[in-house]
Amino acid sequence: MSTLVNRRARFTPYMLLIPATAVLLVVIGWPLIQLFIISFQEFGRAQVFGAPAPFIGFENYTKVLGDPAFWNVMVRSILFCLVNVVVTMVGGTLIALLMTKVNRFFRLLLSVGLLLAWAMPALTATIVWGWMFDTSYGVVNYALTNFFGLDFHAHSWLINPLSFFFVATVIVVWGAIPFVAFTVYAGLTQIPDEVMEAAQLDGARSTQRFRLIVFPYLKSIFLVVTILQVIWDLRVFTQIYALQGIGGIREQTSTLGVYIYQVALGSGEYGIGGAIAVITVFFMMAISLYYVRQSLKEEQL
Amino acid sequence: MNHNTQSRHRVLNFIADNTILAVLGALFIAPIVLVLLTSFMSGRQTLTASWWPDPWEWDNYVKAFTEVPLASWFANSTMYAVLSTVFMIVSSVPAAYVLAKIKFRFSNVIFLAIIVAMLLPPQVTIVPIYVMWAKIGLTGTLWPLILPNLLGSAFSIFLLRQFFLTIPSAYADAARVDGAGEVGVLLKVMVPMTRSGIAAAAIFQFFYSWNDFFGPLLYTSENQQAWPVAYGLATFHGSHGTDWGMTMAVTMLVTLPVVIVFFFAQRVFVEGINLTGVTG
Repeated sequence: MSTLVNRRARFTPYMLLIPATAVLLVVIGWPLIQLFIISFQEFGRAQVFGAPAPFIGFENYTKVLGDPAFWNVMVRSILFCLVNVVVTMVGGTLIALLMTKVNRFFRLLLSVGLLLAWAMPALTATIVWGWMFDTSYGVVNYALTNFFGLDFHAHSWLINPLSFFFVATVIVVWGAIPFVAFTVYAGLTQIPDEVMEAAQLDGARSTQRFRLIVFPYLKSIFLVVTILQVIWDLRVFTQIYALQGIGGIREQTSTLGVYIYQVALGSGEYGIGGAIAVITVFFMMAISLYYVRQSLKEEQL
Repeated sequence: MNHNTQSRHRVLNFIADNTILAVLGALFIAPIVLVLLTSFMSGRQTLTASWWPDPWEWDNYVKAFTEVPLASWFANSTMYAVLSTVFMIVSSVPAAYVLAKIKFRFSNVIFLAIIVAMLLPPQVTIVPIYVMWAKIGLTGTLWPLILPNLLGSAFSIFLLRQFFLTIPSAYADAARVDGAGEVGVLLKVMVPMTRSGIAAAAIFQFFYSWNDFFGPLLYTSENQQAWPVAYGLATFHGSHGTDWGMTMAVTMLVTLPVVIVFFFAQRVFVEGINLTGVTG
């Protein structure tokens, strides 16, 4: 700080931090501690209404860790997140690159489409896509059967877990690509034309130009956008939950958020739900520790 | 000749690029067009293969306005989104500023905690939080979702911190030399310079609250009076699932205002995010 350090200046940082510290203590810290305690207790519906909760040691944890359903949910959530982030980032970047190349009319057309998809609430999008993939009246089955000669008459897309996640991926990616495309496109327009022209004159091919110029220029944009996508796809709830309501098999298609909701609030097993949540917290901490170290290192440069 | 093939190459490329783009555009627009067309079909028509309404029926919209408590849904959603956004700005902006610009003990620890909080699916901590709100007696209302924003939201703090990082510290130092306190530096120097970033965070928060489905499912499912648009639409869809015409009319009515607001807001959004990158 400057040479004008006085007592007030020394205390204000802490004053300004009061909200942040409060959020940590009250909104995150306190529930986490409670969660930790509950995860070692027998805690069901009765305990919510004041019945004593006996401590049962690691019983909830051994139940969770010994349950294959939990591991399936974990693997499913991570795979779902990975696939969706990669497809969204690649798709969004390609659309952004295309947008720089075409004429105004097509760019406007695409922008309007992207904007509509982006603005649509996740729930609305799920209802609409669920209807398009509907077994009896869906436009997808109709088109595949009548235009492509495939036998998709009365085909159920949501019963098979793999095709359930295909539909879920379509919905999530469809809703997420516009944000990536617009952001990357806006970034692309900031790259000075001279740089690109110089590279072109030097004979750099388009893949080289992307790798050597575009990517380094937009690195921090890519970083922020990717982090946001990971967060959003890891905690995806609405699309999966609503799609299950339309016709999926819950046991075979739940992701982390939906699973915790079902175990804890659906069937009232708060203790077990707590144990799952605590395991999730440790898992997320491992991921974010890596990110924080990277970003702190970069900021110091 | 060489020149000729090259220009032909260019023409072909142009056509290819535009075709891909047109197909992509169609892919993004098609679902919305389908919703719009179906919302004008009679119940029987929606079950046929024809996709153009014949005749055009306004009935679905009339029914939507008379049978669905749209006004109440919108009032609840507006209260939820507006209050959350205001509360978030008041609390998260100062916290983000401190974390970005002032080095002090434990600042890294706090930053780590905020990242973890941001990554955690909200389902993780709901059990104790739900029990707490049940004891206070606010379940059945939207307040359990609005009030915590008074303490800031981890995601907004993270995002705003990114914006503050892009502002050179020299500006703040200059103001300090002129005798401004930290609050003055924040309000008179930093906030005006990160206006588009703050706007982006506010819009994120607004749309998050407006589209939030999980929160209202958890707290308001038993009290119809408190339902916002997102949850109302879900229950409506659950009970009228096969009345496609009316479902799509309601879907159209609840989506349209969001789309219009969004149309004006998205510029700020994109500018805000890019601010974290290009200048940084």
